[in-house]
Amino acid sequence: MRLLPPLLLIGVIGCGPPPTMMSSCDDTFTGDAAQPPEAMIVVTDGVSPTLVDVVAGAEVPLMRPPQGGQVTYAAVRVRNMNRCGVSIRGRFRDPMNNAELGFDGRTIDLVVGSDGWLRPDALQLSEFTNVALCPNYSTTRDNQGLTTNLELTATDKKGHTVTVTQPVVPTCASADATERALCVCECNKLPASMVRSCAADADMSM
Amino acid sequence: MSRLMVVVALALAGCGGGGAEQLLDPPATSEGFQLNVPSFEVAAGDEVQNCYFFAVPGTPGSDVWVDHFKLAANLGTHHLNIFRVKTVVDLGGKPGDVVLSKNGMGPCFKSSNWADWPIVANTQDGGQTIDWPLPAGVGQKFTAGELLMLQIHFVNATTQMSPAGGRGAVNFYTMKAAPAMEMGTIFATNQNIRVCPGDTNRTYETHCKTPLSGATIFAANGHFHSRGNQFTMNVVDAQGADTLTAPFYTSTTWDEPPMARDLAIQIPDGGGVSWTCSFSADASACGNPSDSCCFTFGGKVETQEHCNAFVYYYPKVADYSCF
Repeated sequence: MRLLPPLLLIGVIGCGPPPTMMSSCDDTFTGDAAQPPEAMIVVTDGVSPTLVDVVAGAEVPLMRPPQGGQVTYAAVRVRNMNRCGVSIRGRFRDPMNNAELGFDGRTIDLVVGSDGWLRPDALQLSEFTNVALCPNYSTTRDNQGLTTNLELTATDKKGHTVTVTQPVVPTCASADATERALCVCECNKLPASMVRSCAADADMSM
Repeated sequence: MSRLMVVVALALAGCGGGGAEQLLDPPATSEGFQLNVPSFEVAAGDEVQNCYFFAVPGTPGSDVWVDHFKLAANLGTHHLNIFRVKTVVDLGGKPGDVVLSKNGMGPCFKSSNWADWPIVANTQDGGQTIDWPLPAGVGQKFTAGELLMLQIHFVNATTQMSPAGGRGAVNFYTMKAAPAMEMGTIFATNQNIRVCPGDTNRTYETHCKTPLSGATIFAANGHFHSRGNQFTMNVVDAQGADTLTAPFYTSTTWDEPPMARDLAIQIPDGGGVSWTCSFSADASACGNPSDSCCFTFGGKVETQEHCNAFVYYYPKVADYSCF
């Protein structure tokens, strides 16, 4: 819509302070500038404000965010990088053919942990890539319970960048059995009919 | 005349002729049908989002093919979306029912209530009528008796104003025979957005992977709120790499984003659509005072943010929702 009439616009242009757009983040470097960036994938379940390091073969939780679908909240803890406006890109790939199964990328501000590594604020799910695997529209591959490659890349504003990949098992992890059943339904491959009614299957309908 | 058309006619007969009102004559019964939203008040300082339920007219169970839309909404509309009703969680109704919601509260504001409801069509252009014929040989299929929900959102506050109140209408023009190809839709939303005072060009990008083959995007538009700087869409290959050197859709206008309607963008087989939003917030701005004044995911324009993509394609395999 047209918010302001022309005369008012002229008045706004002619007076008043310019908009302030200063970042509140102090873009400090953490680590050893002589060393390349190092990274470890971390995930959270979106319920407890804790980070879990991801090792090869680990189960990573699939959880339901507000709008819908099922995502893994994944990020990295890193060192030898700057901390503000860091681009993180999270991606699941099919280990059989390297096809992308889900992707989320965003800019975040990292905080310094007591161990000297930078990490996301575990209280803010916006500081994690929300990598969606479900609803799964494939008719050939389940997106939960199978080994899947989780790839994270972090790049700071100075150009320091690091990528780490781990084979993981995305797992429907809600403590609520109904939510968990809904997750499994949404994440499994579509039936040949291409028709699925997960909410009804999971007794979520009202 | 069907029950729906009776309701439409009564609503039109009763409406006022305010100069800023966007009126749309319904099609002749033989040419189609109209979903009509009668005038409603949007008081100063308010955001009103209402959900209207309609049934597709016709002999119950029969196919209804549509190849042309006209969408109209009063000046100040934030959006007008039409969905097919699927799983009812906390928002539902019979044909003719209305669910009223205001200022971010109520079931018509809670997006999880329509998480699996496919988008049918949308407009974000206030104060004008969008004439949208589909590409030749393409139609959207409905079933007579099928339940649709028209959601319309007006803001009369600091970011947008609605001088004539709320009102909207959508005409569906029907086809005499099935077309060569069916239209499909993709609705994609980016979750857990958080834009805080002082943030500059904070970006969110997501990919919507679909098992499409030989699909062509013919229309698209993006949606965000007033912290949005730029909205772009591209197509990605099976590995997730952008395949176009420049986005096929770019919007730098949050309140009247363009609706691209003459596209011919191929989705790579096994690929999908990527969409990216960039946000900035003035250091003095305040969204949620209890969350460091940050603007987080939600439908309230004044204090929350969205990053939603609407994509229209053919031939249809399914209607997709991506998160």
